[in-house]
Amino acid sequence: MQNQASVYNRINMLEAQLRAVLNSVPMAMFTLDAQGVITFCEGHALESMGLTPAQLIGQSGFDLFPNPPEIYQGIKRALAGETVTETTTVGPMTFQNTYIPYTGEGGGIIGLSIDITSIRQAEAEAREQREFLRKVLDALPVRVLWKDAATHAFLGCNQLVAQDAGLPSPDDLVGKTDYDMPWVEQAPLFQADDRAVIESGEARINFEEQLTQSDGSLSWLRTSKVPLRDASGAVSSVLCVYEDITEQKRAQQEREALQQQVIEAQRRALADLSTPIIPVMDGIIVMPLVGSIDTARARDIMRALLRGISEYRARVAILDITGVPLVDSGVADHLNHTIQAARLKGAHTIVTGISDAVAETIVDLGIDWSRVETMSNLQSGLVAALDRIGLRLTTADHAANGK
Amino acid sequence: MDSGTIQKLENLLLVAVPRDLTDDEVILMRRDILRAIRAYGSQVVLLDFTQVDICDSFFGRFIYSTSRMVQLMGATVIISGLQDAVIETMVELGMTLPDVEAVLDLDDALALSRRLGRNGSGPAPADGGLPEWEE
Repeated sequence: MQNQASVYNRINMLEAQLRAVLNSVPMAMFTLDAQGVITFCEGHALESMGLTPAQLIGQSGFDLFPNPPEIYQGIKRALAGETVTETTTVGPMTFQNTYIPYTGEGGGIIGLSIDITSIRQAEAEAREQREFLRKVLDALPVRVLWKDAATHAFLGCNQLVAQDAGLPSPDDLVGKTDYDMPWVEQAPLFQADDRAVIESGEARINFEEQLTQSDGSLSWLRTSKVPLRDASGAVSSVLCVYEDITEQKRAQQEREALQQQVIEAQRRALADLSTPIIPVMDGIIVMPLVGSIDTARARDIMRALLRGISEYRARVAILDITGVPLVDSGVADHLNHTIQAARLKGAHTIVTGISDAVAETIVDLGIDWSRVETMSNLQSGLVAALDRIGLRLTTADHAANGK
Repeated sequence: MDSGTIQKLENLLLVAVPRDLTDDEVILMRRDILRAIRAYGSQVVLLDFTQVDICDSFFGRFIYSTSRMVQLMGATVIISGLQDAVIETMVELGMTLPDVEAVLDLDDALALSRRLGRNGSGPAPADGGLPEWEE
């Protein structure tokens, strides 16, 4: 007698516990007999479906759920002894249903129905977000690529990177590394950069580097690499964002080349300006030198003088150095070379404009100008030049009176 | 050696020095010049270098040896037509040819040789000054 009572109590308690569980989670439990008639149903999910146990108990599962066919088939197959799990959408809701054949007395099946509507919704939202992110990535006019920090394997990228790699889609790059790409030449450099960013934990922004494309051509990139951390704070991946600046680089190089050309043209114009030749009489030219004379300028002076001697058929060249601030042994040597060159072209040179300071310097430095004809000023030089070519200046009335 | 490169003009022997002279050609050319001096009694030899654009060792050997030989035979050596680039190199190498008179071109050479002819032959003054010019 006492045993029976305690058994009933136990059964009641279990039933109450089961009801409590079923009524607080979005699921429902059914039992069907061997003919498919519902003998028990309980659960919070019933409310969502707008049903009560009373409506369902005693009904045939086959009659209640002819559609969708998954439920009908599920019941049928379970009654035949197979455990079946399927997912059914009824209206706005989605359920995951499991049908378990009951092997105890009387047979039948136990059915479990879990409301996965919100889970499905969350999944759909997540998928939409991923899709949207993918659209954003593919719409960006830059290459985006992220790699695993430990293996340097690609975890993902956008469409532009796939294009650069000559592959149809970003998914084709997952798991590969820079060594599998057309830019394998730069792979050691790229991975070294990755390691630097990973180890320092600091981003490297906007640095320039080169990349080999799938067609073999070389491009210039402006790249930024950013370390990405996982939940523990350790760097787990590296984000690489880069854009192709080949065109800009080419334009920049062209600008620089043009600039160089302009500078060079200006330098030449300046050189020309700094070596003027003045023909003063038949056979006499004057070259006033102003400013310091270094090796390059000395060369320009020599060349200009030789050209002037040809052009004006000069037999005497006057080099006036009044405007040359410093005459040291270097400058004296340059002038000597110029004088020798002029002689080989058939012209005698007179150096004028020797100041007292220059005269002192030349002697003190032991520079040998004994064979160079020098004058203190241009006027004297001109008179000496005229004399050399056999001419003499006279006043007008002297000429009128005859020689 | 063809006669085109050596020509007599009054008391002047005109030598048009060809470019790219080999050592053998130098020897032959010098011989022809010396023979011509003796044949024509030339007092002045003009070496014209208008064709020469490189100052190399062949050039150097030709100038020095030819000038020396011509002077030993009692004639004066004048050089003309040196290109600017050749002059630059000569000056850099210290090849200044102090015993040789230089003129711009053939016209000046002719004028000089006429003057030398009137005043008697012999090397021009070493400082390169020109005698009085008559208009």
